[in-house]
Amino acid sequence: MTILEVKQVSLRIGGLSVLTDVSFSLNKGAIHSLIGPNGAGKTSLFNCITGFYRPTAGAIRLDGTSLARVTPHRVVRLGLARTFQNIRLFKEMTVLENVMAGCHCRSEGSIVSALLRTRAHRREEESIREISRRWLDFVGLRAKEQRRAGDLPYGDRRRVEWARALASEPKLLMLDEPAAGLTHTEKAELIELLRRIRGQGTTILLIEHDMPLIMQVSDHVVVMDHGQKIADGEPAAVRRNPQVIEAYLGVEE
Amino acid sequence: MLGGSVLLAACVLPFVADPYVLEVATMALLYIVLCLGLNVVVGYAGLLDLGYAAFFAVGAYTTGILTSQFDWSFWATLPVAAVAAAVAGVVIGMPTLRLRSDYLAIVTLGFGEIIRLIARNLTITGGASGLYGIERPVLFGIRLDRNIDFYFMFLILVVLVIYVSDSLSHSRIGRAWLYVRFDEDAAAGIGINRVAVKLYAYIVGAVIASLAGTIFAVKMTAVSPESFTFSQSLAILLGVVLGGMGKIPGVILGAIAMTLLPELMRDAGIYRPLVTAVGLLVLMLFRPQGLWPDGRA
Amino acid sequence: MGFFLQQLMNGLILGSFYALIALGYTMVFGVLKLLNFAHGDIYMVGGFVGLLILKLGSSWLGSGWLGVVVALFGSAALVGALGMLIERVAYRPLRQAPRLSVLITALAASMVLNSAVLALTGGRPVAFPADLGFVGYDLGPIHISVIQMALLVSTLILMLVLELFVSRTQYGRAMRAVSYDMVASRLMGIDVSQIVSLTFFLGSALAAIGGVFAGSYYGSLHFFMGFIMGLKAFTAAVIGGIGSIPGAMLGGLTLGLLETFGSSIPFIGSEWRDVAVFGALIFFLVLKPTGILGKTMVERI
Repeated sequence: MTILEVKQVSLRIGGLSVLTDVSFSLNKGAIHSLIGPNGAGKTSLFNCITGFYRPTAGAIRLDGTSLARVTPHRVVRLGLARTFQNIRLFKEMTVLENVMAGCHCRSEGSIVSALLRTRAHRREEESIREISRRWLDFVGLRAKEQRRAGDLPYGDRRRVEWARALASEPKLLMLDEPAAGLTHTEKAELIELLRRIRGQGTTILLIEHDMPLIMQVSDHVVVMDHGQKIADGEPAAVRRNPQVIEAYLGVEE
Repeated sequence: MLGGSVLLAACVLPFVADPYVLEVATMALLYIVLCLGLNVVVGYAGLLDLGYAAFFAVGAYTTGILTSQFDWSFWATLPVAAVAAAVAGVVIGMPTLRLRSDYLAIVTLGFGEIIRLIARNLTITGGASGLYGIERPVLFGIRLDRNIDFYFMFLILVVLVIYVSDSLSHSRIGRAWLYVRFDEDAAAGIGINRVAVKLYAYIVGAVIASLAGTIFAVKMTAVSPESFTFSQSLAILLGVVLGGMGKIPGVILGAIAMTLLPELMRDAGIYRPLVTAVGLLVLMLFRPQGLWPDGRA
Repeated sequence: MGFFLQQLMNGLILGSFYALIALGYTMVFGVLKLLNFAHGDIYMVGGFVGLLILKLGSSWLGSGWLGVVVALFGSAALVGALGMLIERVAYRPLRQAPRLSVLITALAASMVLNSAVLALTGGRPVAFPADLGFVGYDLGPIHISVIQMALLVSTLILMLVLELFVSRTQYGRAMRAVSYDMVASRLMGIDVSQIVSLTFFLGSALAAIGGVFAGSYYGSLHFFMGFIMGLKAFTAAVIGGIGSIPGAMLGGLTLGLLETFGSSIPFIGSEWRDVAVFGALIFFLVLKPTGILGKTMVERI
């Protein structure tokens, strides 16, 4: 079963080819990784999928629905949540309020119902709080729900972002360099967390540089270089691929 | 508790105050409504609106025209004024709310001028000299024309607007305003329709200003374009910024300060704007969160 | 035909004023991504400083061309320094602050300038005693005065010099680097603060020149003249493409011509002129926010 299909996607920015003819598909319920040297076009592809960039050519489908011309907030409602490479929390707000943002697209309280303080409105507010707390439990941050998000240590801020993304009930969760800057212990916790997320049926797509982590956790790896896909398959097979070895030689490791 | 005592004091005040104090207090209530309305736009959603007086004008002119030229009752003009302001909010907001925040500031400034110039140049709005002979409201056969009547009309509106602000700020929409204010891209990335959310703030703010305008029109019985200048928009904005964007008690204090300061500075005469301007600059440099902030900004 | 050419001339004159002010908006916006609300008031202050110099110097220099030229240069230097000072005092401390605070601070700076001049002049218009005579030349059916020619030629020269400065000199290159990526520029060893100061100096000096020309051309100055000028010059910058120097020139002239020809259409008339100008601003911002000459930018997330 395919959850995400990327078909011959190209992106040109100001005459520069950033992505050329990228195609791959992701199976439901697995952990996928998107890897490649710096400047390979990973984040650009990420931004195309999440609606922040509009591809010049090609098609992207989430669970059969085309994502062409879909704005970023609609993409989330369709079941695709993302995190940002450089953590984008609402720093001035509490941890709980941050996670509640994820529930926004799954709730419908209107101005009128808020003004009339209807019972349905109160019930929805209560359920938003409850769901958010559940996700804080899931990432192990329940105790810090009233802290200001900007005051948390780095590792915790990453978790808040994951909880916020999970609260939007995604079918596909896309994490942009989730392991960056984490300690050894935190990485182990990340792996465990990723498996738990997969365990509840959510598909994951990682953009990562951390090779040991990728090899350990991924079910499937897509490799990019110079804006093109150069390999795609199981971690062990990809690692032996001569093109992949060439792309990485002298660049990293 | 504190709120209740303040409200009680506000109800007693007109019976003990002399006419001058009553007049100033009425103006203070008007500013509280306007500042709380703009606070939804600036304080909650973080959109800098420099033409807010335009919506105040929409309300005042709607009531003014309908009562003086079409013999409508004041009460019947209220929903029309609210709808007119909401429509104006959508018309100006729809195309511009996608823009960067500084573009929005200058567009709203231009929009404020457009509304004033239209009021100046149309015949139906009475041109540069404005509208006269606006009908006073009648309630249960009693003509409301004493200062104390308008004081209470504004007081009721203040209570209503506080209720609206408070309800919204603790709702899904209110949180969405804050998300958009603090990080627009992250908000979009987590599924919030930023344009729609900003538009709601804009409409709510517009309707509040418009309702203030309707009462203003029947209190003064005359409206002219000069009541809706850039300086007026600026004064409202100053009240919001001074008190602390986003927090209701802070904004109320800011509004009161903006009403009282000109009265207290009468002796300063022509130096008054300079004192105000330097005060604002110092405030922004040393306490940009305002005197009584919401603890977030 | 004569009427048409005369209107063309008037449009170009008006457009030159817009262009001079728009240049400052565009440069500051390019480098700091800041909408400098005080810029219109800088133009107004420039006029008044020129007036002061003209008056103080009149016993030696007279109030003819020599006096006016000294006033132009003097005001450009002093007001350029004032622009740097404003950046230093009001904007620099807020470089990391939320955009809303920065905008409000810019607004405060604008209010300080115009309320200070209000206090000094009592809010009355002040005559600008330049005595340039009415000498001019007849080119076919139209009459051009020397001051009109001086304004047009100076605007053109200033724009060319500025364009050369930005594209050819070390400082100009640094300026473009900062406008492209401030953080990277700092890492490359560019003194960003110095470049920002320089940008404010140049922009403010150009606005001051505009102000002195306005005084000499219209014969009087008023504390509120910066407000509407600021708004329209910003419109010009947007029409031309904000961030682009030739764009500011093109936008200024386009707006000047539109305004002049627009108000000679009977139905529109001068009462609706400003409505049309702000309408154009909104139109451009919405449909073509990059303006005529602006480059498309991809926002990085």
